[in-house]
Amino acid sequence: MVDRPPQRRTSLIIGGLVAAVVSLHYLGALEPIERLVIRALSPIGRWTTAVLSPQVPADATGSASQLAARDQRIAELSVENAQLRSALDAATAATEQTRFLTAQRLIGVTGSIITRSADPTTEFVTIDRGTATGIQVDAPAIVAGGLVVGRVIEATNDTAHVLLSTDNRSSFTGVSAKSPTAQGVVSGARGLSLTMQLIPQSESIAVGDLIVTAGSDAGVPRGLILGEVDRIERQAGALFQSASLRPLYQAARLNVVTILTKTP
Amino acid sequence: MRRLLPTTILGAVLLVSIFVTPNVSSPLLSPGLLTPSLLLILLLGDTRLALLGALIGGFTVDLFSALPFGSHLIAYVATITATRWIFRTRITNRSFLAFLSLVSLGTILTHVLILVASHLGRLLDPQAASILANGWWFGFVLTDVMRTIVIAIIVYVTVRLSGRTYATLVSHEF
Repeated sequence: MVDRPPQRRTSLIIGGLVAAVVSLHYLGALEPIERLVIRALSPIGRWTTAVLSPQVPADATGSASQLAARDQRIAELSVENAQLRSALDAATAATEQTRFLTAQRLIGVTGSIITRSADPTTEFVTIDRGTATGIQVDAPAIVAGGLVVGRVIEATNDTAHVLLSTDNRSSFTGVSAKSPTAQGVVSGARGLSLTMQLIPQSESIAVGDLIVTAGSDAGVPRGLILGEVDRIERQAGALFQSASLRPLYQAARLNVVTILTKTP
Repeated sequence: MRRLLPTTILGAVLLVSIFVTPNVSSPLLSPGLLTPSLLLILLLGDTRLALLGALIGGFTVDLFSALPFGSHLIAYVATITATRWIFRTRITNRSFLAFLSLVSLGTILTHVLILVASHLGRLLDPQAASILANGWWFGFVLTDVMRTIVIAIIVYVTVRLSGRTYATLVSHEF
């Protein structure tokens, strides 16, 4: 029998324990315990999100808050405008999520955000709905008016991780709401904005144009709003042009999102 | 009983790290209090509590993270083990500067280990997020600096409130 020093023995025990926990997780044996921990802690997450990320500023005083309110109003008007363009029969400007879903014949599951990414380089949120409610990986996440905020990258029975559209790894096929042939790839830019690349140089695109989903990504219907063109970059002789987009949502203000579970 | 206070503080730090910090601060400036707290407990002498905190903390953070499961668990436990080894065998000087250097080294080590573990973990879970993105190192450096500052403040306040000197706080044997 090998007589190991106590500290080495402790390290071996700890290492074995870590390996066992990780292995059991991937084998699914820890699921009941994990579900219990998630259920126990989710109310704290919902509460902190609701308190710390209100949709409407709680204390609207002073010029800074007036400016923020004006920005919010501009974003709401842009969303309303895009709805009228993208929806076939949307004669009225619906701002509520459920009305939008009905108008677009979409079915979705609404979930509360229970936590956000703590990693400095990752932009994602975790919601309290999972595969048990029909959520699938790659499904788009939207907020009021069909504004795309991200896509599901991972889902368990009770929770789902949504990668926000501003994350560098996020990618959607987008098209100008004004010019249906001006298509490109919309990606996140450092968690702050969006970029639309590979737009054919021959296509017309202008600052202020709304970019919507092209409908060519699996599970993502056409006409969901991705952002508004902020800046255009063209180079003489190049095949493609690119644009910088302004996302029409503020990640810090999100507390409820809808995941589309069925699209036409 | 002597572990009640640090355990309670560690539990509170864990909940704050998962649910509060990501909501109230810029991701780039997020202080990520769990790593410095674990290192603080380790360097002030309670190795067992630090290891237990790393195990439970890593497990819980992994449940709420989009990175592959195990990334944080492995990173925290390995950081505590490695830092303990360095403090016992390599940096035997018990000066405040050595202490802060270890904390800084520990937080950098955590980041590197999360990076490695998350990439290895994607072999098991390809759908999980990758931590690598443009400018990832910038966020890492910022958070590492922030964590070192946070722990410097905590140690300073602890020394002042306890009425002890820094040397007596860390003069224990590992």
